[in-house]
Amino acid sequence: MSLLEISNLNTRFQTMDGEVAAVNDISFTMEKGETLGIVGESGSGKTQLVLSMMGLLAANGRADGSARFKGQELIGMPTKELNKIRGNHMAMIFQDPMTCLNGYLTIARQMTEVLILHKGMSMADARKRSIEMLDAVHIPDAKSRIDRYPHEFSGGMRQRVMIAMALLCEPDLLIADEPSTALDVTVQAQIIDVMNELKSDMDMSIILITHDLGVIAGISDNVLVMYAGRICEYAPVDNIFQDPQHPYTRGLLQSVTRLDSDSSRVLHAIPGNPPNMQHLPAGCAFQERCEFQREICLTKRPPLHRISEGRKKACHLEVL
Amino acid sequence: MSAGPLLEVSHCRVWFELPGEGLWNRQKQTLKAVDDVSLQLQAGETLGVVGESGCGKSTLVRGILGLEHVNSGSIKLNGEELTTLDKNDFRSKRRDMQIIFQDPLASLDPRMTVNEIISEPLQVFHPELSAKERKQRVQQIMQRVGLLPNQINRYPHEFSGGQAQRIGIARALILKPKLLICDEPVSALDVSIQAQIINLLMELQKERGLSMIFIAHDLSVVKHISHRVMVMYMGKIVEMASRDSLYRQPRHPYTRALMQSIPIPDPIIERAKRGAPLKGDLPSPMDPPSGCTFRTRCPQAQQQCTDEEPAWKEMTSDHWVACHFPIT
Repeated sequence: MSLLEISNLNTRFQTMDGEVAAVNDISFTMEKGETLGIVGESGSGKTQLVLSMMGLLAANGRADGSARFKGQELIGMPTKELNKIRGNHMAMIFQDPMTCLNGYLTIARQMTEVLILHKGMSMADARKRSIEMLDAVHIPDAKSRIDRYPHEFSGGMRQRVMIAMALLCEPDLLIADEPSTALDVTVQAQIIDVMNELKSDMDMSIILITHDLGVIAGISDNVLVMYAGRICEYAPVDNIFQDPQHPYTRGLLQSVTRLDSDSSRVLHAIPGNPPNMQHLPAGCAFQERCEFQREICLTKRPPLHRISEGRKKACHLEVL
Repeated sequence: MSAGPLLEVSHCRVWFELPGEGLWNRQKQTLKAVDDVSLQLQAGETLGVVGESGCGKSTLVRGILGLEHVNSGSIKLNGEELTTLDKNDFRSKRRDMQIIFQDPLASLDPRMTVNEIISEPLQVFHPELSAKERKQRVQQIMQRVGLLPNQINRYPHEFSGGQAQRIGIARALILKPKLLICDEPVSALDVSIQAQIINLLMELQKERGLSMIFIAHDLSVVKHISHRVMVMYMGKIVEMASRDSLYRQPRHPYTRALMQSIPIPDPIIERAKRGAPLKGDLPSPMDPPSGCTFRTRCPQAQQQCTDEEPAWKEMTSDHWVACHFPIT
């Protein structure tokens, strides 16, 4: 049994301007200890995909299909049941730590609450465990810092506090949604380092959502590339970077400014703009920006199909 | 016109006075956001300015634009001193200096059409133009920055982030400024769009002989667009050099750490990395460390770094660094 099995997951939002299909027919599996990177532009559905799994969609959103976590079906599970899994076996961290830290409560209060609720620990044990966790993510002087309020921490430290909080119950799966995007590069490097340590020390599975291909490269085992709410490519991390098979993946890689590349070259840019999810073209959603566009791309949407062991893509082009 | 640099900033200081902490202790504290910064910018040159948030890079350009009070030092545009000008005289200089911001949508008025946004500077500085002539110029610049001229009557929310940034660029360039300041112009954009905007800025610069100051927190973005790069830490310049010299051999440990922090999109290189190059956070700017301000995070700090502030010295031709023990 895989840790996570997603099959034919769809997420729809009812809006004033009609229905928006944010996530379409997503299927993948994840094993224990695996780190999956999800890459895509804003609006590509990567966040809504994990929110659907967690039962955290906005009120106008609905998910159907299947998401099985350790064999248990998450889609349609009552909130009471979900609450036993969320925070306990599956935890999530966000781009902006202040969206999940309460500014009115001390870190100690917020962290111990989790352990008392989920694990039934005593206050003293919960506090001890919380301090250990803060130490693990390298918060200096955790013993006294734990009694402070979130605003007394810097952005990078708040992010680490949030990671510590997510890890309190030693979840099987940690979902990190752009955990380092709002941070300075130096602090980002610290956060990636912490996540790499957790990965090897605790044998945790991680879903890392980001638009930064550099962050994905260092930490992922497999990479899922999303465009317009669909998977366009799925492959082991080395394959994605050395031999991308979808024109969008290749375009993304070529448009990154790299520190180790020749700076005199003109940057390759993917032409056009991200698609409007309310008015997607028939056929392939990437057609307008694709240099390999053919007749068939205008009318027929390419299905996600297996191209070799552990690799899938959704493109009419056989080999890129 | 003088043959000297287009922009010359010498010993510029922007200090903020803040009330003291606590109810009874009202002694004022000074935050040295920009401290003793000097730089020169030639016509047609791009200067990249890099540093962590809070290092003073945005405050510096706001000082240059007259949006922040400059406490001391001089700022000369085409040889003319700006810091002593009164408000009205400064206004007329601002047409030569324009800025584009990080968040393109937040910097456009949602109640104005694209036409109104881009043509507003024309109305202020060229009141002699007829509405028709203004519209023509707006359409010309829209075309140049990659917007469709028939989108002229749309509102900002109808555009994506990349397009909105193009509107910002069109507005900045409609007066044909000599200096364009770009304050993190691509960091809020999607990766596939960042390259489009960087390429556009580089083309426009070549075409119009623009001088640019390009602010970023990321050394890899700056590498593509800059001729020279300046690294700031806690309000001071710690290193300045030509692009090639800086990237080939960074001299300041902070510059090197910034470079090592950037993840490279290559799994083999990234997996081989061990540990973050810099520990800890920026110290409080209200209470900066003595001597070299970087010493609290510097892997090679020694006693001298605590006692003395490092001098600004030239390592190789036009490669300057402020460090007691520069990397050789």
